[in-house]
Amino acid sequence: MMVALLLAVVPAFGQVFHKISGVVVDVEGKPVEGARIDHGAEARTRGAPVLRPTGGSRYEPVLRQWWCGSRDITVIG
Amino acid sequence: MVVRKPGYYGYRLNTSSDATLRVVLQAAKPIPACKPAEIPKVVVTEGQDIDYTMRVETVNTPEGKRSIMIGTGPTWSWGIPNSADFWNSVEYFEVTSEVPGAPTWTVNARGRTSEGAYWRYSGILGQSKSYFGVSKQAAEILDLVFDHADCPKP
Repeated sequence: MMVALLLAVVPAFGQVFHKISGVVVDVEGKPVEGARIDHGAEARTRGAPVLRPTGGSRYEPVLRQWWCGSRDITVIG
Repeated sequence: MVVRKPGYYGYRLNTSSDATLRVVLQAAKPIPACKPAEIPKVVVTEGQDIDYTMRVETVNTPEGKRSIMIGTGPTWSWGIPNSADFWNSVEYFEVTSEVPGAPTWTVNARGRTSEGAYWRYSGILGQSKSYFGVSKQAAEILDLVFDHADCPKP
């Protein structure tokens, strides 16, 4: 599963985004589908970030959490 | 951030720049069955407001009275630990599991902050059990209550 994220790290004057890409596998190297990524936006301490789905991933706006599907996703904080 | 999946230990990673990662999730071992233990005396207080009900279980520890907070309500818990505790922890451990028949996961997490405070969280969306900001010694006592709440009584 490819995962692409833009993580928000918000300094005092503006925003910096970190793009984290990669794969999620088990110890045997098999892809792990459906993993969820939490606590990804340090900006949350200054207000909840806005997260926008760009792929086939399921997005739950109330929870502000992501379920990573088989397609790339982007999180913009 | 942490990568979670039921049946696996959470994979925690800190990011400070762009990166390409290979996240390797390790399968979690089954939670051991209840073990006999000397459970400390627990004083229970209960409360509620318009959107939650709460139960506080307090025990005596060498550092004084310390409590486990148990709550239920639509705004009580996001089903994940407090992010500030997560980010401030120098030690962190968690296991995620599925809730049969429910579209939510249980997250069992614990950690120690850089200030040496221990915390623990177990919850789903809208319901959690937790303690925060205690010493290691107090955490060990609270864990006895935490872990044996659902065990059959002898």
